[in-house]
Amino acid sequence: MTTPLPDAVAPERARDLDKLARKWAYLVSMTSYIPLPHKEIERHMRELAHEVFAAAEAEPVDPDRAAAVGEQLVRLHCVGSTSLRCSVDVLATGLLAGGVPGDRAAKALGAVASGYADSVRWQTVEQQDGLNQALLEALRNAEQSRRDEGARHDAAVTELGLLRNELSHQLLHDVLTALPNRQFFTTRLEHVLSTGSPTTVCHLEVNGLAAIRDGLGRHAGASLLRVVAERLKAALANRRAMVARFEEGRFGVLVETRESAPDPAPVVAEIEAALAEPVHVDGHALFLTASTGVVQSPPYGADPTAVLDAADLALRGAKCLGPGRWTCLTPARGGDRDELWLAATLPGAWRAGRVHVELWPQVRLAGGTARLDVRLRWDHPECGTLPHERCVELAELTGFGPRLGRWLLEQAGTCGGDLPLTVAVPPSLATDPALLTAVAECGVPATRLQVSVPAGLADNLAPLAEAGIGVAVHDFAGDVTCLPAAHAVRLAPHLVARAADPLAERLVRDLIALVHQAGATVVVDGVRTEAEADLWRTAGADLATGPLFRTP
Amino acid sequence: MSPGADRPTPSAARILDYLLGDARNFAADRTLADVLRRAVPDVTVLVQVGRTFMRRAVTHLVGAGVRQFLDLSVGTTAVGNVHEVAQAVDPACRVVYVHSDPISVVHTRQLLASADHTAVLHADPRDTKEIMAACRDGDLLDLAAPVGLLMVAGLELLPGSTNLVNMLARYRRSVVAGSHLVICHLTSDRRPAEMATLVEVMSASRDPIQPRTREEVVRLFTGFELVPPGVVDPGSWHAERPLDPAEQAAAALVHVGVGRKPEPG
Repeated sequence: MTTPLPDAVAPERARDLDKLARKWAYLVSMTSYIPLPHKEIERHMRELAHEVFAAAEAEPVDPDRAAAVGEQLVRLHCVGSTSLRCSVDVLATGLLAGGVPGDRAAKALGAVASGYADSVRWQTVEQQDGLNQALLEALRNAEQSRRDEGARHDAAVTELGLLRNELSHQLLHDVLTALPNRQFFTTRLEHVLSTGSPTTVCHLEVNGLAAIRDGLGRHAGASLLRVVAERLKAALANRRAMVARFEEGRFGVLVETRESAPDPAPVVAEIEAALAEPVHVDGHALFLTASTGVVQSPPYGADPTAVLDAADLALRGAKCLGPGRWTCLTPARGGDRDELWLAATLPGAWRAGRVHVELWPQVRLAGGTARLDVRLRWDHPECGTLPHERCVELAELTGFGPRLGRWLLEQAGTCGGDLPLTVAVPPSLATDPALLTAVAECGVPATRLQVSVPAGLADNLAPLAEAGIGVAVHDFAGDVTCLPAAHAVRLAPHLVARAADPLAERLVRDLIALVHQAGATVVVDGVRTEAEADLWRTAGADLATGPLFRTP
Repeated sequence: MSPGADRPTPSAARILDYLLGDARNFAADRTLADVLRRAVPDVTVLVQVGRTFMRRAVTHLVGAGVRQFLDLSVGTTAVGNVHEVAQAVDPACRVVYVHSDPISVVHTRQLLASADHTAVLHADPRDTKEIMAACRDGDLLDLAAPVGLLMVAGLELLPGSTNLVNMLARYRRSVVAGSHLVICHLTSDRRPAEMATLVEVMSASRDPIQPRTREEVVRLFTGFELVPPGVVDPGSWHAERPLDPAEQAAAALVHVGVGRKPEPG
């Protein structure tokens, strides 16, 4: 605290201050041990009372000056449970009796209290840190002397064990929320995975924490996280669950269940419900949402780190969907590690330039190339070449789909020639309002571009169609509701594969007729041989792609 | 895997720290302290009253020419330590703290890192010979000059089998005339029911307590001349201000006294 300039004090005020200081010193010294002779305590209180008056009578009220009084109270060790209450009582009476208006007194005392609270918090943290360090060192000393002298006393060994337990508690818990930390969570997860008991692992992140911190201060952020911690714990109290705080606004939830394939939806719903009530921090009501990544039933003996990575991937996927959403990964037994690992490394490979764009011709079964498919290809050093469909599938796992889709559109813009282009965009980009902008900015003239989406998402492309851009649907399996929106229809692979089967042949013919009736063209993917091409030509399909037509 | 199932047992030193309003304590200490506070609400005030007595006693000793102190009291180094009180009067005062708890030792060392003329010994206060030898050999105290022996909290924590009179006689023989002994000790003399509760609660900690009568406390000063007003409650020992009723009630739970080793003859 800087020493204030001595303000001129009227004799009347000086008497008031003396009286106030005597009363304050007497009362506050009963609430806490203040290591000073009583006269000294009175002298300090006299100075602080003067400061409070000065802060309350400043124009405008000076909260910093008042807060410094709160800090000084802590430094004097007025830290008993009723020290602050007693001080505020004495000061309020003194200020009002001294002619300070009520609103000014309230503001100044509020600032005293806030300076006090802040100071106590820091002091507590420092003291706890000091104690923890002492604990660590005592543990090291004890181990050292055990090595030096051999385990002499049972008591010493017991104490060492207790120290270690205490230490591990300190190392395994988050200081802010007192929840287990990531390390503790991982250990617990490893144990649960090794017992094979079915589990749901959630990785959730409170949305907008940074904004709350910037807007309301770090203190508000900390209070908020404590509330979230409490609510999560309460929400899952009836389940066999562990809630942990990872870092920043991220929490982990591990739920053990009896059923072998539990539905994660109720767990996520409970978490969402717990966070739905507004949180009151510093007089502000904050409405929270959280994004949640869920990993459902990781296989027996799975590596906990891989499971946490998967939960992290799922969380990133959820965040791409917008605040308050969740996604779930259900790893297939075996091979899940590869899938997730591939998905996790795709963005890196793309940045390193190992994901390429290639052009496949769509030929008219009647002869001649009609258009080009702009496709992704990942040349993976271990898994070989991953085709467009795999790349999209993997990108969707991590929420990387929109970025990759936009890039693919940009690449289409660099394709020379006059042939029309078809770009199959990832589903997440198809549902993204940013698609329209991405298409408009990709540099391909509207008349030359066709965007292809899974059949179920065709409705999302209506704005594109209005802008004169071609719309295609792929994975068409007979859902005719998409037909009005589509200019081209690409048959689903399982239909293509079964075209030679007499029953399916009939179905395919009817479908093709139906598509034609709706005014769209029919595209067949994956044609390998001339025989297959003949079959489709006879069936009435218009265009085909596949290895047969790929000229090097 | 419930945290807290196998934590260190609460320690009196850290309970005192918590009751003083500080945070150099573990959850187990706070839990027991809260139980204690519910059972005997006066304990918080009692701790303050005891600490205030220590400050007055140390100030008195410095006034009587004592410039070095051996603090055998239990308690983490917290606010208003002996060296702070003594050095406020004379910065040359030397203070040696003795702790039997390894965490307290390390912690006190950390807190005293920047304090002059202070030292910490890891020893059991009953090992008089060892402690006095360490003070002499390490040149921590000048045993040819008077020493203030402080036992402001902790005598009641020593095992019942300890012969306190003999122990204190050993200390008395190790110091020269003009040295002082300061004692603050729990008693059931005035409020037996509350003290019985306190004893019961503390039996759950690693530091069970043993209250003593006024006669027993007076006997601890054998070989010392009691400084007036003798063995009394803290409110009657050179108080700077009258105690309020709550403080008086708490003060009734202890006896305090200061003795001076007289010149031979």
